[in-house]
Amino acid sequence: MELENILYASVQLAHNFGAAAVTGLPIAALWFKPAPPILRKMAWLTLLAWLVQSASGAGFGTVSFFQEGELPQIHHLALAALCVKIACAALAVTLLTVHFLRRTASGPGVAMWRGLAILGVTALTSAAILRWFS
Amino acid sequence: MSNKASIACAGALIAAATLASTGPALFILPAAAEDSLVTILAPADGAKLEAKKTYPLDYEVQASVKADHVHLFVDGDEVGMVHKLKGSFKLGPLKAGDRKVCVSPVNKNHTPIGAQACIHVTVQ
Repeated sequence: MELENILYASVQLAHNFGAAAVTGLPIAALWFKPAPPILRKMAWLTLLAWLVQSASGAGFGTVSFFQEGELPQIHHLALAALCVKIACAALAVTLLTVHFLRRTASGPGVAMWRGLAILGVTALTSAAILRWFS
Repeated sequence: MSNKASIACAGALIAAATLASTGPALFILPAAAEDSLVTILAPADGAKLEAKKTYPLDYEVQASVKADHVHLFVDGDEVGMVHKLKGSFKLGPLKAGDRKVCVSPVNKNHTPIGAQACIHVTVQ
């Protein structure tokens, strides 16, 4: 078993759980409509998940750079998909940060959860394109 | 639905999505030789090709723990990708002039593993 595979697998593990959380939490919030304190906790988890996504996404490039001395060869459609993923993460982190800076007692409203769900689904869709195109 | 039930359902959603998205990425290939080599079988180095025509570019990569698939470059621009270590690209149509065609084996993360085969062709 190679160190490189262990590193990629570790990064992938974090990235997969992050992907599941950034999509699943907003959909669950919209579907089950839990109480405001729970919504607030779910919003924190969503923010944490997007940060994990950002860090682990950068982790793929970091492992490549330190293990192979080069960054991944990503062009055309895959590069566009990567840009979309980064934009989704930046927008979601910004939305949630602004929400928490307002120091409201309740969790985000329906509109924000919808927005977060769309961002999560978009990022997950782009991930498939990024993986299978280059 | 109660809060506990909501959280449990959310957890189940996350677990299902994780299992679905993890896929083959976590499988680790058995160890093999480090120095993967790639060979372009056709066209030959220095071949003269006709513009507006397509040609099969046959390549072969020795099995390696790192090599997962290959990228094709024409004059440094990536023009194709095949998820086979032995196969064929459709090369062309190419613009007239001298062209450098390279096949680069990469790992699962699309990162070059160090080996690369290149040929120079003249397109007329």
